[in-house]
Amino acid sequence: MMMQIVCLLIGRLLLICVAAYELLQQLGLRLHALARRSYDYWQCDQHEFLRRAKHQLEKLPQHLVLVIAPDDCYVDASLLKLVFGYAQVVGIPYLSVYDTRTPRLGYVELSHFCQPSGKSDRCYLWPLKQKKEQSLQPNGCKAVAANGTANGYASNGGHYAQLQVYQIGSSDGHALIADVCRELYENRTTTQVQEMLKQRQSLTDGIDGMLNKRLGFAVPEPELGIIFSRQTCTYGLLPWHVRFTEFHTHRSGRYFDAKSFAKVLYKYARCEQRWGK
Amino acid sequence: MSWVSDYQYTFIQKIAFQALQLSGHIPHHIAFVMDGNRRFARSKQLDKIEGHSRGFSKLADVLRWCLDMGIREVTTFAFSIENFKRSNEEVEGLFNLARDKFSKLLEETSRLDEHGIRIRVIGNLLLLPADLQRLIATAMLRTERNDKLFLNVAFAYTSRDEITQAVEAVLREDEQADDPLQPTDINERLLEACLYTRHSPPPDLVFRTSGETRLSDFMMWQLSTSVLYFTDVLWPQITIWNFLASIVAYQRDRCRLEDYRRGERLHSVQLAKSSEFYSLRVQKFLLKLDANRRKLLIALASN
Repeated sequence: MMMQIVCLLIGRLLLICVAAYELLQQLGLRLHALARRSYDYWQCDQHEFLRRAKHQLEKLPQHLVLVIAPDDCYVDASLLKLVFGYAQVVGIPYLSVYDTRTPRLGYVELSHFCQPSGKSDRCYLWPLKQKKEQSLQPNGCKAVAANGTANGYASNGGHYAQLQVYQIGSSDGHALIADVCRELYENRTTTQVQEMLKQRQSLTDGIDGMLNKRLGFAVPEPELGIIFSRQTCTYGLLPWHVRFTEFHTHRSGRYFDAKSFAKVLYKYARCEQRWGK
Repeated sequence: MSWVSDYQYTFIQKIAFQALQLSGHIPHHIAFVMDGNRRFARSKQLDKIEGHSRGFSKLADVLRWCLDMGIREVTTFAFSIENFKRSNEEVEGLFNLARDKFSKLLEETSRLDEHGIRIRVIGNLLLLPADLQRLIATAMLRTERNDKLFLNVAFAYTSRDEITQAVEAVLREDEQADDPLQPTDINERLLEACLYTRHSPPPDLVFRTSGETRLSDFMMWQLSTSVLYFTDVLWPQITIWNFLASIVAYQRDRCRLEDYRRGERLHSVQLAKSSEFYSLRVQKFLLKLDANRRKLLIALASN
């Protein structure tokens, strides 16, 4: 009995220590962000840094996915534009955003600053054509993002292709697979479905094709994911498509700049994908 | 080597164990991606199969820790369908290791009964050699009455294959049945009930070793609300302190995920209600699915 009380006290103390450490760390991160914000305001060409970093990377993801946790309060449209700009500078052509928040808690609607691609209602192009010309001005990095950095995406006048951006929602996860299953069930007497049922792989390929069609995805599966959250969780992100995605958690509240982005890319470039071998 | 080791705790380890047990929430279900066996073997200049064998020994320790911690369900990723791409020598070596371990398991079922451990192998068993299928099916049937600790071994498994077989199970529903499924019955709740893990809650914690931060097509459907814990240590090198660190991380992160998890649970309940998931028609279909799976196991065991 005595032993149990001692253990309980030790356990509680441990949890209090962890909570206190987390609180201090969060405070430290915000102070750090404040300091970096002021520094970056005067030193606006972070993209030159990324361009240099790009040459040292052995591989780059073709498709990057950003996951925003339901309780994150630091990711806003400015930060997303910043990340889009970084992706564009290093040459990542496709980017998906999975924002799990509600509009009341900061959900970012991509249509407010991206241009519809015309391919599907969830596919956008960034930057807007007319804004592109403006921000390509040599001094186009004066707009300051909410987390503090300059918001020009190509401050020295480099020309980049528009980024293809997908907005992913919670209904694109399990529910979409169920939709596909329902459609197959309704057509299960057709030759096409009967052919699929002859071999498991054919059915897998069939489901894959139908999911991509519904998502408007004509792009590779995401190879890299950045989770903006205090804990690592996929929050139901595309269970069919992210099986080999490398996830990196960027702790909510931590400052995000070109260096953070480059660090994630370096880590991705170093990791070896074995594909089961 | 037994499936559950006789791990001897030091005094400090006992205190740490009890402290975590008494002060915080213990995960109900942990999933392990046991990665790093080959890298461990390379670093110690051992044969690859010896690396896998050491990995299995570590699994026996981990199962003991889970049992003592009060964790009710453990899922391990032992062999992916993608692993068939490895050399014949390595694949055959892994199958031999599995043959050896499942034979041992059948010899010590009384010990498993004593701990109440039920073994379930999840995956496409038909891709395995016939003798291994027989061993696995026998082990599953022999332990099916145990209910204290569920050990799910993912063997010849990928999540994509699991989801595909769930869709396949729905599509193969007998058209001539008295009361066949209606298209409106089909939703994520029904598909979830057709997965291999249909009788398991989703994992609370997913633990991956060896520094990789991907999920390698493991339980992609089920882990949407799980805390993911990645550590750099190789699987055969994990210690009880790594295990306890993952429990602390879970206790820390669980509270923050709780709202999201509650929302998902609520959504699932509402979906089940609105789609007549509990109707006789759907429940009959699921019962038939269970019966067919058991029939398959009996057929494999008697091969």
